[in-house]
Amino acid sequence: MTDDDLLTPHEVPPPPGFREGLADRTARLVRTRARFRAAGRLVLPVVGFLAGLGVAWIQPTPGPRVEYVTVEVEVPIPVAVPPPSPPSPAELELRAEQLTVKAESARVYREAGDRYLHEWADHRAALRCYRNFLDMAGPGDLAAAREDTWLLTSLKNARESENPQ
Amino acid sequence: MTDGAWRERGLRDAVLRGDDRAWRAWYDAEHPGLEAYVLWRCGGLRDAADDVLQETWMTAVRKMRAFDPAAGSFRQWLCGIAANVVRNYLRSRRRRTARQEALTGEEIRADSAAPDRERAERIAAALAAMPDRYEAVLRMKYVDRMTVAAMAATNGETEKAVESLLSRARAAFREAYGDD
Repeated sequence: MTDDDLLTPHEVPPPPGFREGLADRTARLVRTRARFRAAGRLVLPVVGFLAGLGVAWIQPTPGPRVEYVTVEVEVPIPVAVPPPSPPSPAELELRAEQLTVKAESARVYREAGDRYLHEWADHRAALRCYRNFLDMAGPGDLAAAREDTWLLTSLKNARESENPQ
Repeated sequence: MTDGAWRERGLRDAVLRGDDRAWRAWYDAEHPGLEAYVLWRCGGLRDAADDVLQETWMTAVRKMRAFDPAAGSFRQWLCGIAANVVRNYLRSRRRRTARQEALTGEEIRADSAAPDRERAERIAAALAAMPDRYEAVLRMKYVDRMTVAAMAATNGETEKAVESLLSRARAAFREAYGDD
């Protein structure tokens, strides 16, 4: 058989009443489905409303409401007061010059000399202060002592060699 | 959208509202074309065609919401449904036959008309196995009885291209059908 023979449709009449019967069945289905759709449009909002009511009914009642009160309390903030700074070596030297009591002036000159030497590394100023100290110091302070700095020890030794007693 | 698409849109909306008369008019207009297509796809087997037609129309009513006139005509949509129904029908028929043969242990031959029936089933199976493009061009030629010029105008192709496509579609059909 040729392709045309195989592919050409053959007229085979349908069973009597088939077409009409199918038309009736499909028309019934069309009506039924339309009715269901219309019913769905009506029922759906009601079902939604009832579901909302159900949820509201099932949901537990809320407990007593807690109110939060804000109270402002002033807390003093500690302010750090810096300790008074010690006088500088220069201020000490000036104070020593102004003191009238020799022993006190000598003590302050020595302190100024120590501070010039250790803090500022100003040997010239330290030497000046130590010399004034030795000029004003009593005999007890002229002997070399353990707490003397190397510069003061050198000065004391030099004075002792210049003025042997 | 074309006038036809607007008309089909109106019919669809009327059917969705449950308009019986609109449905009857649409059904009467489309049934002959669909019947011819389904009968062709079933290789001329009337009982298979009736089953497929019934299932196709019922599916069309159930899925009416999904029909979009802007995407294609109602006829095309119906033929798409029918093609799927035919494939499922042939598949389930093959399974059923294989089960029966396994139970009885011999090949089933129903009656004296069996050779014709077998040939018809082979035609249906060959058409079901063909690519959509080939099936469409064969449908235009043998079911819609369109000329090559009309097919070319519909597809937006040259007549030569349509003839070539027809030739390839026939060859594919012959290959799927096998030798007599």
